[in-house]
Amino acid sequence: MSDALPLVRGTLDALVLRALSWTPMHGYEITSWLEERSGGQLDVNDSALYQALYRMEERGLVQAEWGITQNNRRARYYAITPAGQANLATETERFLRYARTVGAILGTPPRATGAS
Amino acid sequence: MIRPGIRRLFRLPFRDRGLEDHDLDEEIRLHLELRVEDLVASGLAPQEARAEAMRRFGPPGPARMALRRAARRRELRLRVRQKVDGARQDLRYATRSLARTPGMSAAIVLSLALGIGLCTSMYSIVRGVILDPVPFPEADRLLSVELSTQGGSSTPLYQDLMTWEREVGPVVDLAGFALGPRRIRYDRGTVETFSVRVTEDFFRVLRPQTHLGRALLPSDASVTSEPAAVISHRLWRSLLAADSAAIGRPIQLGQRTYSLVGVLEPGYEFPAPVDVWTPLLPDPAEVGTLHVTPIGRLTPGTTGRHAGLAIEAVHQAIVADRHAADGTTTAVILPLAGRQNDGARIASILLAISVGSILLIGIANAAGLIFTRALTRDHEIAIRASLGASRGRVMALLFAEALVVSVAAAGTGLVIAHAALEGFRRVMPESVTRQILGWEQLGLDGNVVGFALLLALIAGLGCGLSPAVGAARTNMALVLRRSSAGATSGVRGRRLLRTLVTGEVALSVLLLLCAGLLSRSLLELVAHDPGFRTDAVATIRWSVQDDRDPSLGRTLQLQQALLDRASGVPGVTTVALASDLPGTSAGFGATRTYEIQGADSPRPRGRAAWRAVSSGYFDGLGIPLHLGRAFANADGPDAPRVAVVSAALARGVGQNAENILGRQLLVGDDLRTIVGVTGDIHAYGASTGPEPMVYVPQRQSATVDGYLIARYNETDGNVSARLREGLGDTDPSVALGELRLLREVVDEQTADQRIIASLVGVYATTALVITLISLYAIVAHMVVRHRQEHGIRAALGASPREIVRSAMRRALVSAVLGTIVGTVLALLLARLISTLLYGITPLEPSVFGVLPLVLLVVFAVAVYLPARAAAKVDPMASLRM
Repeated sequence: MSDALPLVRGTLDALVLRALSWTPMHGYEITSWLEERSGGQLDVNDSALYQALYRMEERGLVQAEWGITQNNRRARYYAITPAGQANLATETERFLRYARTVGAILGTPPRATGAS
Repeated sequence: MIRPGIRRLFRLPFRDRGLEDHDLDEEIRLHLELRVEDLVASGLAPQEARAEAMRRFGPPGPARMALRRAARRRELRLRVRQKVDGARQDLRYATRSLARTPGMSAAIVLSLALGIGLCTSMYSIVRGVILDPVPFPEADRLLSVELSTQGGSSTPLYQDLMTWEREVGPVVDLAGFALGPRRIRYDRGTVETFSVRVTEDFFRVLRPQTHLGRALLPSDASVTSEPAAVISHRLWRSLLAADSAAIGRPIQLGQRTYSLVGVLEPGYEFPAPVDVWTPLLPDPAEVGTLHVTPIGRLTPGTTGRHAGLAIEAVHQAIVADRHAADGTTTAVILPLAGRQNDGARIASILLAISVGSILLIGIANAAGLIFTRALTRDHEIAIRASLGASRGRVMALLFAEALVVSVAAAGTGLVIAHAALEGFRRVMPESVTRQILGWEQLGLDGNVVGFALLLALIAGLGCGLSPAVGAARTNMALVLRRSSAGATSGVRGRRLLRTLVTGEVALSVLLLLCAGLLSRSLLELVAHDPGFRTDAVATIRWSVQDDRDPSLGRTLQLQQALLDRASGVPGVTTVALASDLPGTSAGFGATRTYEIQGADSPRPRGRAAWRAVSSGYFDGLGIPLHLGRAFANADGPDAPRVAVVSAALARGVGQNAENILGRQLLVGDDLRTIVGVTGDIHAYGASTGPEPMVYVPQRQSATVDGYLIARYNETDGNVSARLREGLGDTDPSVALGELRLLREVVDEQTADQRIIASLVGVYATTALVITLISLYAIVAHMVVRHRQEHGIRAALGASPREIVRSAMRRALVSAVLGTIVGTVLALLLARLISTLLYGITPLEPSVFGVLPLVLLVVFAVAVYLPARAAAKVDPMASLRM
C-alpha cells in the first residue's frame, strides 16, 4: 500500500488508547479497528503496535490479562486504565491543537503571507 | 480473564523468564493466524496470505528483538509494581484487621507506646543533661583544676592562678572565677541570685554563644574601662522582661553599677546556677586572700596529662617558695564535662533501667497480645496457606501488622514523651533545674524523634517476629482438621506466652522493689533528726545595701536594728542572724579550710562549712551545746576572736571535745580560740555523715547578707504575717527577701530524692498496671479457648472450685516464677543504687520481706478474676460445640 499515510511520531499510542477506550481488545482486534476506522489510510506496522502496547503497559496506561476469544482461542486482552484515559484526553487535545495550528498555516494561500 | 485482584488473592506465582517469552510467541502467533484468516476470507491464497501477514508484521530479525526487549522490560516493571501493590495491600489489610478488634489493638499500641514514650522522654533528658551537658565548642578540651588535700579539695589563690597562667600558657589556657554579690537590681526590680567575677580570659576559654551583645573581653578587665556585666538568658527574661534594647543599660550588682554588654544563650550558664558575670578586678585588700576556681582549655595538640603535669609543677614551685603549711596539696585536673556527682549518675542509670523495663514489658505485653490474636486466627492463616500462600506471605502479613502497630505506637509514644517531659519540667523545682546545664533546651528534637522511631521499629520487629515464627511453625493440616473453637495452640506457643508473662512479672516486681526501697529511704530521710529543730522557725533573707557608709560599725548597727525589730514582734521567742541556713548543703564559698594549732593531732587540717551566726542561733535552732559556751553579745569586733566548732570537726582532727576546747583554730587566715563544741548538723538530703562546722560570731565577721531566723510560739496565731508586718519599716538600706518557713527550705533539700522516688514510683506503677492487664487478658483468653475442656470437666463432676483452680494454675506459676526472678534481680540492683539510699541497707527487710508477698496477692487476684468465668461454663453448651 504505497499510498498509505506513514504515522506521525507519537500518535500511535493515542490511537491505540482511543481504540481501547471502547472495550478491552487483543492486539489483532486493535489493528483491525485502526484499519477499519482509517479506511486503510494508516500504515501501522504490527510489530510497532505491540511495542507500543508493551510500552504503555509498562507505564500503566493499559493493563493486560489473558482471556479467551469468541472462537475459543487464548489471547492477551488489553484494557485502558484510568491513567490511560487521562493520557488519551491530553494527547487528543494536544494533537488537535497541533493539527489546527499546522493546518491553519499550511491552508493559508501563499498570497496572504507575501502581502506584508 | 483473571482479574489482577484475583491473582493477588490467590497468590498465583509470577511467570518466570521462559514463560514470558512463551507468552510473547503465543500472542504473535495468534495475531498472524487471525491476519491470515482475514486475508484468506478476502480471497487470497493461503500461501500468499501468510507472506502478506509476515510482511505487515515487519522485518523478522530486528522487529522481533525490539519486541522481546520491550516485553522483558514490561515484565520487570510489572513485577516490581506488583510487589509494591502487594505490600500496600498487606498494610491496608493489616490496618483493617487491627481496626476490627479495636480494644485489643488499642491495648497493643498503648502498651508499646507507653514504653516508647517513657524511654524517649528519658533519652531526651539523658541526652540533654548527661550525655551532652556542656554545650561549649570542643567541650572535651575544657577542664577544671582542684587542689586536692587529704581532707578534700580547695581552690588556689587568685595570685597563684595568675602565676599558673603565665607559666603554663602554651599548654593550657587558664581562667578563673570567684563568687560575686548576690543582689541584682535593674530598673525597679531586684532579685537574689548568683553572680561570679571572672578573670579576663574566662569567656575566651569557654567560648559561649551570646544571645545579645557580646561576652566579656580582656579589655573589660581594666580599672579604667567602664564596668561591664553579662547576664544569663534566664535573668534577661525574668528581670529584664526580655528587653532586646537592654544592652548598654545600667544594672546594679551589690554596691556597684555595671553596664550590660551581653546576654548569653540559654544553656551556657557556667558555673551552673549563675546569672551574672562581671570582670574580676581584685581590691588591694582582697589580694592574698581571694580564692578562685580555675578552669582551662587545652591548647591544640596538648593532652590533659601534659596540662596536669605542667600545672602541678608550677603549683609545687609556688608552695615550696612560700614554705607554706599546706604542702600536701596537689593540683588535679578534671574534665569540665565530667563534673557530675555520683548520685546523679546512678539515679539516671536507675531511671534508664526503669523506663527500659517498661519498654520491655510493653513489648512483651504487645507480643503476647499479638500472639493471642494470632492464635485465634490460626484457622484463617491455615486457609490462606492451603490456598497457596507461602509461609513467607503469611509472615509478611503478620509483619505488616507489626509495622502498622509500631508506627501507631511511635506516634502515640511521642505524644506520651512530650507529656512526660512537660510533667517532668513541672515537678522539678527550679532550685534543682537551675543547676542542670542545658535544662532549658530539653525537648523533642530530630534526634529524639529518630530515637522513638528506632525504638518503635525494634519493638515492632520484636513483637511481630514471635507470632510470625509461631505461624511459620503452625502445622496447617492439623489446625484445619480441628473445629475453629477447639483449636489449641501448640505447646511451643503456650510456652512462649508463659515466658512473656513471667518476664513482665519479673520486671515489674524489680521496679516496684526499687520504688519501695527509695520510698522507704525517703521516709527515713524525712524522719531523720537533722540535729536542729525545723518546726516553728521562720527565715528571711536579708542584705545590707548602704552605699554611703559601708563600714563595719554601720553594718552591725543595721543588723542589730533588724534583730531588735524582729524580737519585738509578739509571739517571736528567739531571733538570730546567720550567714547561711542550717541543713542546706554548702554552696559556693560556704566552706573554708581550717587548721587546728597546738593540739598534737594526727590530722590538724581540713575543710569545714563556715557560718557567721549571732548569739541566739544555737538556742533558736535547738542545736545542743556539748561543751564550753555559745556566742554572746560581748563577742564583738574588739573582743578576742572566738569560734565554736561541731563535734564532727573534733572527730575529724582526731581529738575528743575536751581536748579541742581552748585550742587555737586558723580558719583561712583568721586565728580564733575555740570556746565551744556543739552537736552535729546533718546536711539534709545528703547520704554522707555530718559535715564539720566552724561557727564564728556574727559581730566579729559581719557579712553583708544572710538570713534572719525567728523561732516563734506556734500557739500565738499567724506569727509569720506579723513578722512580715513588723519588719516592714526596716531601714531602707536593708533589703529583705521572701519569708519562708525553715521546714520548707529544708524539704527542698530532699527534692532530688523525692523526684527520683516519685519517678521510679510512677514507672513501677505503670509497669504493674501493664502486667496486671496482661495477666488478666491472657487468663481470660485461655478460659475462652478452653471452655470446651472446662465444660467436659464440669460434666464429669469437677467442682467449680477445681475448674477455677485449673484455669488459674499456669498463670499463677508464671506469677510466682516472675516474682522470684524479679526479687533476685532487685537484690542485685539494690547494691548498685545503695548510694541513693539513706538510712537503710540495700537489703531492707521491710521492703524485700513484705512487698513480694503483697505483689503475689495482687497477681493472684488478677488471675482469679477472669478465671472465675471458667466455672460458669454450661457443660451442655460446651459439649454441643
